[in-house]
Amino acid sequence: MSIEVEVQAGGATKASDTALERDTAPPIDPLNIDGLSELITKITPLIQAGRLDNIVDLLSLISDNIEFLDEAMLEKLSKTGEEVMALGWTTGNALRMANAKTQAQVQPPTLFQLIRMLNNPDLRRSLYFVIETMTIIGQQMRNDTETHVVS
Amino acid sequence: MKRILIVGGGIGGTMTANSLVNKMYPEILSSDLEIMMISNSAFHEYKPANMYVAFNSYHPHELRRKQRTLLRPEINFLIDGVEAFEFNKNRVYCQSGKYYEYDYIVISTGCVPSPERIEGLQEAGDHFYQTEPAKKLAQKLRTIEEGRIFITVNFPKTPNVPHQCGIAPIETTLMLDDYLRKRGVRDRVDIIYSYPTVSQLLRNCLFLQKPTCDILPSIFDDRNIIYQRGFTLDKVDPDTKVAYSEEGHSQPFDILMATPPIRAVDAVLNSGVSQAQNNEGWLPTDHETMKMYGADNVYVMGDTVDLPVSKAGGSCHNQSPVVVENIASEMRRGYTSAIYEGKVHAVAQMGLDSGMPLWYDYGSDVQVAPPTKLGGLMRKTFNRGVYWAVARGLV
Repeated sequence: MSIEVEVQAGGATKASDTALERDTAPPIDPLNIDGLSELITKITPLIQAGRLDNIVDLLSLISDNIEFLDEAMLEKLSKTGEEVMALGWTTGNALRMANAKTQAQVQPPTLFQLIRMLNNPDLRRSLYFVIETMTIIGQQMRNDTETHVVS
Repeated sequence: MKRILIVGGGIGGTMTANSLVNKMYPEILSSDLEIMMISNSAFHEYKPANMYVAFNSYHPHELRRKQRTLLRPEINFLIDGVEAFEFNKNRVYCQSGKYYEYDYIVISTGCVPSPERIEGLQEAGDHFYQTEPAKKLAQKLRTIEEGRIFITVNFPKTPNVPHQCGIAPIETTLMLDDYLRKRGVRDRVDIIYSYPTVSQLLRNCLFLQKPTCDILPSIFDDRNIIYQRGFTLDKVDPDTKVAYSEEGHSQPFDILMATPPIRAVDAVLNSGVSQAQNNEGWLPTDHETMKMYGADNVYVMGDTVDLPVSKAGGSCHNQSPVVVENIASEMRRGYTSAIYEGKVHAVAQMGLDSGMPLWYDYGSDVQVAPPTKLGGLMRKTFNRGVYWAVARGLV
């Protein structure tokens, strides 16, 4: 619902929205003290229960983190975010498409058909990718302490 | 099998291709539809970030990704250059010598900076709309110790069509001011910002929308940036380093930082469909459906259109859903159902650290808000990460 507030000469205001005029409660004008009063009413329970302190602390925490966030940190965070997003997207796309193709098959491929698929260079490329990934993980899992002792 | 052909692997074409796969997935699954993209490059470049290259804050490789990694695997991606659009035969002719037919085509081929269209500008001017010119400008901005940097903005001659990325000249002017202050040479380098007499529907302003134009003098005064209205660049003398305007003014410079004239790509120029002046090549586009006038199965978006909205990614982001929905609706219902209302949104880089979210449409101008640090962080987050999610059609 749109509310058009027309500021008149002498500072008086008039709400010109017809639906609003039909409401029984008088409209809250954000431009004067009524708006502030409404805000105080809403915040009062938070103050009474001592919960407003948490909100203020939270705002301070957010503000502090904004101050800490410089270009270098933002670059690192954005790069991490993009890599995670890209990995999830690429994997998700491949799973979705492979799932659709698999479900479209009336019969599962025979063993011979599976072996023949190795002629497909894209499949060989992805198998190499898997093997290379495993190799790198294997490198990371080396027991360097043991290697050092042996040498 | 029907085919939707997307020509152009920039932000508009990429997000549209991905969104079409999403929207048309049942037809793709049943092999009734193929989504094909033709791009002349294996790489996708985030063009707007070239302006950061000009200020030495980005390495060019950070702006590039392999195009295929941004496309869903259902898309048939071809690296080829479209030489000719044959709209009457529903096909394109490519550099490889092959023809590709289509049922629907989306043309999102961008625009080409063309400083050679103004005498002397190619030789004496600099710009930040492509990587190599931005690197060249960066060298000059890094080393200038004193003198005058003159900023000029050149509109297309086609009426009511804006230059590339409407806010970019202001962004880079403010970034330049910050950059020279950081270098400690600002007090010895004058910055002169100029704007032509005719800027779309406005006359003698400093920006192409009036609310922003009204507020700019106070922003420039605060930063000691000199500004000149009514400077329509006519020619540049590279020997004396003086820029001359059609209005009879002249401005000496040490660096001429220009928003150069632009035109459509060759294949669009040669299609013979454009009614744009000065052989600029913008395609006549229905401002609501985004269809090209004179053909029922051709959609245009991004820089290639002749609409009054910014030639920028923020336009593509809002046009793409309309194009996708209309193609889907035409294929399934037989009529278009979405309307583009001219919406453009962006986060303007207002200096090196501050940013200002902005949006407008056919009916309303940008409402200027004070630039903030949060706005700056928002823009930098977009540059570094969110852009690639947008290209993938995720945002």
